[in-house]
Amino acid sequence: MDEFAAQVSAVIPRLRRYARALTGDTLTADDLVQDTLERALTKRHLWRPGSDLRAWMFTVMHNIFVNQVRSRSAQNTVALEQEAYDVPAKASPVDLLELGDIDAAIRQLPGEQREVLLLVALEQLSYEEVAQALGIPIGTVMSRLYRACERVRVLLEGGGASGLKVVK
Amino acid sequence: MSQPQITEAKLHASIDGRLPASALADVQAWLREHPQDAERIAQYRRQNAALHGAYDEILKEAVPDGLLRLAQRPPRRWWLRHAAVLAWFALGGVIGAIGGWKYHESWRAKGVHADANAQSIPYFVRQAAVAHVVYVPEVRHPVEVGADQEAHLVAWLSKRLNTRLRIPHLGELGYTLVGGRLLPGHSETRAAAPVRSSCIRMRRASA
Repeated sequence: MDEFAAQVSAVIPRLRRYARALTGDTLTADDLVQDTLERALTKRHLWRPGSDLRAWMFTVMHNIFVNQVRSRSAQNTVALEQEAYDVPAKASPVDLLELGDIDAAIRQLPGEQREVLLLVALEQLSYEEVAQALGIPIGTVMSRLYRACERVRVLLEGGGASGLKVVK
Repeated sequence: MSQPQITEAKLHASIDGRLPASALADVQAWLREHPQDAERIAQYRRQNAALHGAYDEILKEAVPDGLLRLAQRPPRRWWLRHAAVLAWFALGGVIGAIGGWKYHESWRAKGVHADANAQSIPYFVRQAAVAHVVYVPEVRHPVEVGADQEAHLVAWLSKRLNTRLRIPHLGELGYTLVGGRLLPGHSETRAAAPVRSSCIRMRRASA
């Protein structure tokens, strides 16, 4: 196994964690990871040895994710809306645990805010790395982060879990 | 002593561990004086902890074999691609020469005197390269007739090219016939019979 393959293999668990949190679905997440690996392998000449492979892999994944979401919404807006309604319905009615709450809450975030929050809080990338991975200015990273944190707080605190359950 | 205004950026940086130690004291002092901010920041920390609680499990899961195998695939694409290009060139040359023999009588006469520069690359070779670029990414439909129907392929292409076509067997060189397809030529019909390096074939078979 060469250095690139070794590093890519080492990053897979984190790619899976991020993809799962981003998509909310195991199969979709692993498809996203697979697409990311394939793209990364064909684009490996773009990776500079010695630079942080992890941040670069998140860039690759972001690009694929954005394209998938875009093509999905272009082809089928109905499905996307249904998906949005599915999430609260899946949350169990009475006793949502806090872990379930946080998952339901981040599902309610717009994709762009969810990406920033997850990359910062879950994957612990630096703000600069997030800006680079998402191809946005650092100021945009910060404002999306503020909004994401605050929205999750309101969702979780607005009567605790019930704030989420009320959504039909 | 007046306290410095603490920005939202600094509050978040303190949560995310991105604040220099020197600035941390200021943030802590601010939070002591501003309980609303303190409660909000504490909640943000709980949210982040909840994210880890919800998703860190995945880090301990066994990575699916398919993903591991994909990551550890050796980097051989570039030379395989070159091998494929060479094979296409070779076959494009052979088949193009057969298919366009009559038409190229006049070209051949000129070709004998042509300089050995880029201009002298025969048209059918360039055409073979274009066909290669177009069809090599095809996974499901690389050819019109597969190698499993080689007899039919030969008969069909021979009829269309109006000549007796023979497909060379390059197995000893490590190439396997994929099949064949018709190509439009400059002013006549051409055909391509791509071959694949057996290394790719083995990879596909094992995938």
